[in-house]
Amino acid sequence: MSSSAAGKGIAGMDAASTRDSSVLLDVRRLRTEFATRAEPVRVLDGLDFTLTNHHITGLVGESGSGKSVTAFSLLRLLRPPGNVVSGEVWFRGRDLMSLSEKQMTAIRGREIGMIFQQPRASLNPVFRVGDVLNHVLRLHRGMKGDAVRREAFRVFQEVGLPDPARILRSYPHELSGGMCQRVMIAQVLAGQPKLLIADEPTTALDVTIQMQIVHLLRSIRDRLGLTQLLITHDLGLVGEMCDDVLVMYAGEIVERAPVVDLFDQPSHPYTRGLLASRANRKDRDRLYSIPGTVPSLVAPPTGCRFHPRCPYARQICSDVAPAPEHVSANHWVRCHFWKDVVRDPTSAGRDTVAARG
Amino acid sequence: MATPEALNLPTTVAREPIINWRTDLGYWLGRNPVTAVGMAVVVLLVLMAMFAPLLAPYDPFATDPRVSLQPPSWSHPFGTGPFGEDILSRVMYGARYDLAIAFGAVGIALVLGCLIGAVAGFWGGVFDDVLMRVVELLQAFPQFVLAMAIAGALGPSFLNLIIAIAVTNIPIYAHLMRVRILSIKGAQFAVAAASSGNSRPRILYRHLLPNSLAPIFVQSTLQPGWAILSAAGLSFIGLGIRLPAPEWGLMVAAGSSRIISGQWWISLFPGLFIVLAVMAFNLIGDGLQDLLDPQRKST
Amino acid sequence: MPPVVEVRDLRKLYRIGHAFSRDYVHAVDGVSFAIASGETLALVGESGSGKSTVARTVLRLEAPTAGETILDGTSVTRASEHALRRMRARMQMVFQDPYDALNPRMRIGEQVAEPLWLSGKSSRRDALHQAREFLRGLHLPADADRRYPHQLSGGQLQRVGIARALVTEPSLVILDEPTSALDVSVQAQIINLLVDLQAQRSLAYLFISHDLHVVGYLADRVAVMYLGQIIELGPTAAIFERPGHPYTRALISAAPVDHPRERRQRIMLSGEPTSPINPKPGCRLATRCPFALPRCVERDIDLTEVLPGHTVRCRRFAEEHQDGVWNPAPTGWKPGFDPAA
Repeated sequence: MSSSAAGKGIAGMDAASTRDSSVLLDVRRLRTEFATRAEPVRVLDGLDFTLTNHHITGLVGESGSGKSVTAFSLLRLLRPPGNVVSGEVWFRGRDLMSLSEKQMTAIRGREIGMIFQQPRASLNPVFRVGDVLNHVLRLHRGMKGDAVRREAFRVFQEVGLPDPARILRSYPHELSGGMCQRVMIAQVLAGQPKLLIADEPTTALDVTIQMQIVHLLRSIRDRLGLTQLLITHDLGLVGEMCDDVLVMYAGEIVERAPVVDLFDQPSHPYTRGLLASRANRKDRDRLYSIPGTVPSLVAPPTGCRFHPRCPYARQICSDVAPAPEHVSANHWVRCHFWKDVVRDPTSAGRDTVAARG
Repeated sequence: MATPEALNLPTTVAREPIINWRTDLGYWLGRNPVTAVGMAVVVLLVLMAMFAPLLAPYDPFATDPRVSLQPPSWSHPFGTGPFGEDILSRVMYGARYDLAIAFGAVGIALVLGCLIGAVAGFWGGVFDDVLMRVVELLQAFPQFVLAMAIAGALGPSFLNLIIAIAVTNIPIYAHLMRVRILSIKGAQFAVAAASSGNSRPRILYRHLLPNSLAPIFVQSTLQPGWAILSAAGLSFIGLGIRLPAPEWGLMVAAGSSRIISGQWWISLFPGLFIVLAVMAFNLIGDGLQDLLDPQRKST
Repeated sequence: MPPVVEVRDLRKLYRIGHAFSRDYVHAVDGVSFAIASGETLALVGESGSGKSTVARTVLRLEAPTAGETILDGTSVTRASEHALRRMRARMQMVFQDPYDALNPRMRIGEQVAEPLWLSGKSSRRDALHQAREFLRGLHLPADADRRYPHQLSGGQLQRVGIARALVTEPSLVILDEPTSALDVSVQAQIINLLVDLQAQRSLAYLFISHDLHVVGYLADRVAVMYLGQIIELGPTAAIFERPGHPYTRALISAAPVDHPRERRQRIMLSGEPTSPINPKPGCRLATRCPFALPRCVERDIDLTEVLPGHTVRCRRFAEEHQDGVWNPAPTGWKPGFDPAA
């Protein structure tokens, strides 16, 4: 990161970001709007966060929280009516928002790869999967002839595809969902990116296949040190594979923490509610449930956007939007009363591990 | 891709967009002025047909040998025909014939076509095979040739003209409806309706039909233009209405032999109204399709 | 006490290809179970395991190829069309996607009232009144019955779906992944509601899900399906703590952890399920099973009771287990090749 160290906002708050080398992506005051008939809808309202090098960071949120829009905004893949209004996205010394479209195209795929929820739908049905992979290798890696074939074979082995020679010749419809997702990951790895954005990569897959993909992404991080941004609604998946977590609610990041800290000491009432509302076999008490529903971004609540559903809310919460406050070095939260939240022993704040001993 | 998620809207494939005609139509017309023009023209034509007796300066059937074949003037803005009939009055009354044919034929075709398509799509099997083969038989002929054959066989009359045009329009609706029913009959709400104890016919008319009609109505706004054209064509070649009825196509035919001798106004004005009506209907139909499928316009 | 519903050897085959084709997809292949009043039986399995087909054939929304469902002592399978429509009031279903399961162009009240008056339980007018009352008890907006589905949120719509299923006071309710399409923060509301309603009305639930955490929370017994067959059925605690069948072991092991500190090594099945078209006689998991032996491919066994109320369909488990405990070593054997040769 060569950007000025005087960056304000959250970026400056993460201990990691002060040491430039450990931060791969630094998002500052990112603001995305969707044009509608009336006022534009502000889907992302000044997003600030950093991704630590070699970490898998989870971006957790419900539908409508803006997590997918975040990914599309970062890569500048948002299409009208969506539009990034302002903000900076610093990636390896460059602000992605200020690059030309041509420079940005060079970064997508080559430096930042992306995989999606519907792996088969994201593969072009008329090409053999090997052809696409070869294309990536020629385009991004400048490889030729036999080297392309050998490398394609090697990448397919790396993502655990059995019989690479056969699968390279297959069309997407001949492969199962799990294999298509492996092919997608292989295509991304072939470009040797520095960052992988995975948007709900396992949601469409069956449980046992899901876990295979989780293990694969985990092992890619361990072996290649590939930094990943995992977008998901599933806290189980976050607990399974992430190092850091960003919790998103109604277009804002409300809490950021290393994964163990988040599960041990959730400090935002929303995070706490999400964790407490998970069903569990060993504890058959009535489930805690967050009252109300996810607000529409067309007219988000004033002040703290969670206040209408929050058991801790007081007057100030509907008046003033809380600024981020540190819980510990790498753990911050946007809540006026996070100290009360942490101290509260009731079920909404039930510590899942401690409760079971 | 990211839009519905961001705005917290539900996404489903089988569902058609819910249109609130009161609020959405006004907004959308404002953004599609061309369609608004089309709609205005149709409304004006309908008003003209309804109030023809009040608006027309002369009796459309009245002849007056003293003023035969006069070019447009202040007293006869569209000129007069060979018997001194006022072309403007006849054009105004003609709107009654042509709009009645257009709406009548489309209405009949809509009802019959939807019925055939719905039954074929919903029950499938033998129903589907037999009904759709019949429909395809109709489609095997060029539409106008088929209309000619039917009109010729039934004999020239106002009602037969409507029937001939209606029959040739049935396949469009039958196919649209069948595909629509096929695509939603497996939807969860249809299964849920069955598990609520709905009988098969009730599932079809109470649950599937209301969810199938919007795209078909849109298609049906494209059809009246074509129906007017066909009616005019059939009348032009003598298979439609007979003189002295003031039908636009017939009037064009009646005046066509006199264009060479310089009396162009007899054919021109009814011809212009045919063009106007056909264009207006097509503009509406085109615009409504965009309303129903916003993707179509943006991509 | 006799069970509310008893399903006997249910089969559903789909012919594929032309009309005289000999190829059949064995979507459901001999499934039997019973559910008592007030009990929840969970049916778990992955996509293609046939669990949704079981739901549809049990309710005869689709005719089964063979087998029978008996509800409160009467056969659903043999009932006439007319009798079946009347019986529908006693067996209902809650669907996965509440947006999709409600008619977008029909008022909520009418949709909830439908099963009431269609089954002849009350007049159409009374049904609408009862529907309104029922909806009111589920914390929905006061005018919910007069609204259309797109005017409610996902969680509210699922309450409507539950109202439609329960307004007729059924004996059996099939819950087909009722929370998986909902937002995480809303799921708990729906689960609590289902638990409350079951307690009030002694409902028998057939709960279809792939979310093992919710299954563990809700179910009294669990049936695990693989390629159209139940391969293990037993009390929830037994299934989670001492799973017998290798597939159950893999499935339980694949459930995401509760806390990142619990991350662990897992039993991984290699590859993906084999084709359900004309399955061969042997065990259907054999090609993926880490513990398979050549004899597993030759012949399958039926569900065998290993402990009271706990049945498993695995030859090696049935032969080798001791009091339900069996800790095999991976065999490394794969069909089609013999390490000895």
